[in-house]
Amino acid sequence: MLISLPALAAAPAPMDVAKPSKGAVELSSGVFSRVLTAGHGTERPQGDDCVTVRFTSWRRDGTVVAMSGAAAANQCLATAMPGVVIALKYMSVGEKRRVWIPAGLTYRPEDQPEGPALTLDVELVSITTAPRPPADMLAPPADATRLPSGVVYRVLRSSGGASHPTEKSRVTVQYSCWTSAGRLFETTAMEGRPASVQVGMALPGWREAVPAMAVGETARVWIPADQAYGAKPSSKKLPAGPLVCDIELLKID
Amino acid sequence: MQNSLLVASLFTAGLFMGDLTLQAQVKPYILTRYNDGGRSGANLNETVLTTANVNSNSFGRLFLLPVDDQVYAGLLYFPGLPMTGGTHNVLYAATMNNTVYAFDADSLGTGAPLWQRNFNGTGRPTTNEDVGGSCANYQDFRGNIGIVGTPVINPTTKTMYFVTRTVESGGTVQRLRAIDITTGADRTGSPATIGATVAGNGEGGSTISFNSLTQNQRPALAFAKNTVYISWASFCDTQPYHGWVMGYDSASLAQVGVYNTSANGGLSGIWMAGAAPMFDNAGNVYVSTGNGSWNGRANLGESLIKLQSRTLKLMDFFTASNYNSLNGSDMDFGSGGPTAVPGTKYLVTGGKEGKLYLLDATNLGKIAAGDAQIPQVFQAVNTTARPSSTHHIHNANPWWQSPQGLNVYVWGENDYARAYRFDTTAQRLVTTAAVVGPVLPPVGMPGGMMSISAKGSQAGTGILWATLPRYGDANQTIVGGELYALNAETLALLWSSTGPNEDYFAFSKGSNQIIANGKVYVAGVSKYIGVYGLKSSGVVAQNKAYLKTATGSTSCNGTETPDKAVNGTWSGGNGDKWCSQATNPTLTIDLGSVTTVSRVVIEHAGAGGETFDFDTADFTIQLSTDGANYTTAATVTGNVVCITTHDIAPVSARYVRLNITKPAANGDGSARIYEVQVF
Repeated sequence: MLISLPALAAAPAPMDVAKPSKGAVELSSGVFSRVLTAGHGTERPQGDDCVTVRFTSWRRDGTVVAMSGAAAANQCLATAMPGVVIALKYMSVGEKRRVWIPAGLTYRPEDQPEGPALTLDVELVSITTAPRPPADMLAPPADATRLPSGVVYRVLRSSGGASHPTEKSRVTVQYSCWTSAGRLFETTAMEGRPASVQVGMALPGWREAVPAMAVGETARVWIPADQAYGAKPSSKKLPAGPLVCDIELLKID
Repeated sequence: MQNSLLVASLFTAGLFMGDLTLQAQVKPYILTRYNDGGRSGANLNETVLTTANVNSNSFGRLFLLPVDDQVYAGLLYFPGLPMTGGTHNVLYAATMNNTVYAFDADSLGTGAPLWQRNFNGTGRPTTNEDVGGSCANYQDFRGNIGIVGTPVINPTTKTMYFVTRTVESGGTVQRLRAIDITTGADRTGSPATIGATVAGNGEGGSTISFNSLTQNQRPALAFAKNTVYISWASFCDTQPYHGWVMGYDSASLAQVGVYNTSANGGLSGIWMAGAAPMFDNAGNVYVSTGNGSWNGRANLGESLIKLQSRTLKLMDFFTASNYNSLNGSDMDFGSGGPTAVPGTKYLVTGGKEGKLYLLDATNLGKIAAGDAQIPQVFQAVNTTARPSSTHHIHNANPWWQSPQGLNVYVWGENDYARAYRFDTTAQRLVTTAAVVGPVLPPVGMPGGMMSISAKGSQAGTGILWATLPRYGDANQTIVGGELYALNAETLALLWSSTGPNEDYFAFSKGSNQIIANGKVYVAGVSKYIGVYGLKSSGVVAQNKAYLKTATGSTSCNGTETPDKAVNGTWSGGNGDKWCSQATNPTLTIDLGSVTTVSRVVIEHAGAGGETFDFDTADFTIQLSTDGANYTTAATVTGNVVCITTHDIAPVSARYVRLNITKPAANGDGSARIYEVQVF
């Protein structure tokens, strides 16, 4: 059966797809951009925020690489192309920009030293703000409680409750954890959906700290590397070194 | 525009496609991966298990069925099968040692199967050291690589089809087997050695020949209209490889169709994390491909491909418009397999981006910028809980017509389980999840391997079953497994396998559990099939070490004592293990009386949620009848696996002693043992 291949219905490349045009400003690292439509508000994506965007990307020869289509695409800055991250941090909600990203700051095919240079039209639709790393994440205050393993915790909000989970408990929590570099590792805060956690299968630092918490309490827990994923975790997907977690113990399941 | 509700469904939902005899019966025939040709993943004839009785009080592990090797292939179930000696509900399992088992699905008995047969012949299974060179130290499979793809059964002839993989005289041979499911005997024409050649310049010449060494027979086999279909991917993208589909006549085993996904290029494997090709009522075949070459003709990487029944001529395709960036970032479109939207002309498929694509099977759409030509695509796996992690969809997405509406279930990496509602008026999925579960899986691969059981659409009967790693990333390693039961209407957690002796041990990625007649069957890679059900049907006390007297070298502290290693659990945290910092520590278990010992399973640090670096590296297992004179039954050095299974020539023993000479691979001086189970 012969299948006729329709011509790819390409989003037409802009006239200045090949290189930054008059009015484009270098943001950093060779990334240039030009505002097409102004946005509103003062909030800018930063850190580990996630955004929804509409975009079209082209190679410098005008070949379409990807499009979000009618529906906006979800993108967390932590996993976005480096050049896109640079641009997004300048944008406000509703803003449209044309961005020229040099090779090396886009995606990188496995068999090539660097990816292609790209030109993107991107519209910032919304920002989901990631919880910011706590100010005292590198050094717990002197009045924090130190546990034998080296885990340190401090009650941020007391509940006055007396019900404590054990290591055998399953609990419902809201929490955020950051690495010592201040990067967000995981959080329930952005979706706002609590998680059910088997305490005994959580990080060693959690196994010690959570039973010390009362239901309804919020605590900040400083977890040394050997009570987290270790200095050299078995998987590169896991954060190395110490972690800091803010944990709100909602209930014992 | 036609009212889609008036269009006859292209897919059968429920029973096995093409067999009218079975459609007249109400039995849970699970003869193919994900239950039926449309891949609903649902047994809708479950009358025993409900959301009311699946809880820690009344539901749990009944027994373990022993097999000779790891199980990655999915399980199959044939109810009421007349065999020599009686009629049985039969559970079928296939192992990485190229062995097929037929078990009585309802009782352990002596542990012996109804029949078993090994298909190594004069060869041996491939091992992980033979393949996967692109990953240097390939560990995605560890040990033997024999039967990987889920077999399929022709109900009319009662024939099972599967692919064996052996190394013979230095070369790799893959064979299609067709066996009588009542005896294991080969059918006429079986086995058929697998091979094919197609025109193509992808490897420098003018043809492409099937490479039995590099091609990984990962997806489930599929059967429709007297044709058996087999598909292939790779081991860790080790080249040269292509995506292949081959069709064989189910009676003669003559090859009737061949398709290559990248004949003028390379890669584009059909992987689907073990899922099966999908069928429509015409018997046309739908598969998804991963990273690889694309030119819209001979090369269709990152695509959903429709092939003509039997001939496997290319009929249609859809390619993700961002295939270049998918290729560039190793975000395979084809990490999941397609499943039909029941009662419609649509199908869904998901990939490593965590997007769900809704496609029209009558017009897949080929390729267009922004995927604007297809009915729908949206981000189904939420990325915000772990924003720097991956959010892949693996295996496939089951469907259930719940009392609230038609749901498709997604449990992607690093996200909660979600049910998305299909709006039958709009003929689109509602992109906000109808319900969301409470459990985040461990960081890493693969997300939840899901199945559904229900009594039709009756309220209170729908259960979403899922196996996940209990800790750790299942990519390139072996991790402990956990079985979950969620209320399929609300995704509330009903039960998980953390109770005493509810273990099925190590997680089998890509093998989803099956549910039939009140029992849940779970394959693992610790040489056991876990069988779960209502405890009232009888829990078999198999673990001879459970709650027996355990003594050991000085414990790390007052809670991490020897008794914790025989309490049947692994999930209770630091206090649920035995720990010792003694030099060459020992742990001795008194079984109470002399008994026959043939297998010991040990759960090390990683099985209890600690770093895998703490897994016991060097140790011996010794046995004794009198507690004074011991014989070494197993010697292990350089262990890096969190759950180890040790087969022993059956011997009488009362005492089992674990001698640890190197507690951890990283040099840590503490021995950490969560469980020792003796069989």
